[in-house]
Amino acid sequence: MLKCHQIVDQSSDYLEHDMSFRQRLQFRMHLLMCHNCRRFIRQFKAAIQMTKSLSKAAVSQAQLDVVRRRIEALDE
Amino acid sequence: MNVGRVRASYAIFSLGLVIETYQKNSQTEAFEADLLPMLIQGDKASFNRMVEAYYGPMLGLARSIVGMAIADEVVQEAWLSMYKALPSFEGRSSLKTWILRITANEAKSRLRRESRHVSLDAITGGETDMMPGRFQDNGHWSVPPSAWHDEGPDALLTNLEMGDCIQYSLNRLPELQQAVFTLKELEGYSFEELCNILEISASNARVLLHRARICLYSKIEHFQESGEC
Repeated sequence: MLKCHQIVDQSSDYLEHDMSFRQRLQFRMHLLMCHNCRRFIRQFKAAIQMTKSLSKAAVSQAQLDVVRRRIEALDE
Repeated sequence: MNVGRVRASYAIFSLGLVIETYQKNSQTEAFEADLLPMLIQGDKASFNRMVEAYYGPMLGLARSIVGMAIADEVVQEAWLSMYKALPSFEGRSSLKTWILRITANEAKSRLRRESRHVSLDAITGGETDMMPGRFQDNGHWSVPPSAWHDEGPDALLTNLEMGDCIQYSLNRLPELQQAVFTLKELEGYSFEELCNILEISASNARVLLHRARICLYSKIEHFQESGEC
């Protein structure tokens, strides 16, 4: 029987489907019996989805122009 | 919030992200197939299109390794290195993967020159240390997860203050954790591709990603409980 801390340790593998059938079965057995871990997995999934939408680095035209100028200088 | 509604919201949100990633990958392949022959002939306009398309992902990766202050310099140097190496590009990976690998190497070299080291130590140590004080000696929760006010990803996204807090926390993760997180979660790379870019093993990449996720999860939990970052 898995312990709660093992559920936390293996939670990314579970969500990425990166575990054997046997490991997945053990994981799900624990979830059936533990409401704290069910809540953790539900909220962990939501957190992952939310963080995927964090903003990417913004780029200004000035930054692009610097690259172009430096590349042109290499060719001269 | 109703658990059924949260699940439905999560499923729709996940499907949207999968479709978006698939479309992005197809667009990248088509873009590069169009661009590459012209680039190798030294066409300036094609090079400028590439700069516009890939400067952002390069900057995101460089920031995750060297920090905001010198990321731009690193990206500039990476472009110069890439321009010189372009005639020898063999197409073993996508152009974008190749460029990001050059950026990652440039950033790591810069860190070494600055007498800092890439924090590979983050890979070692016990997994349970990721949530210190949350478990009893018998491995069960001593401080179980609290119920969040908003559990759906859409609801979490609409909380702008929390978004700022998570962005702030992401910028403070150890370098390699940030780099793996940026490539996997923000740029949508597979483990195989990001291991190729960062030159780390798949097992290390998985540990680093999991640690980054748990850290950000803990920040969201803290924000949900206290309303503070």
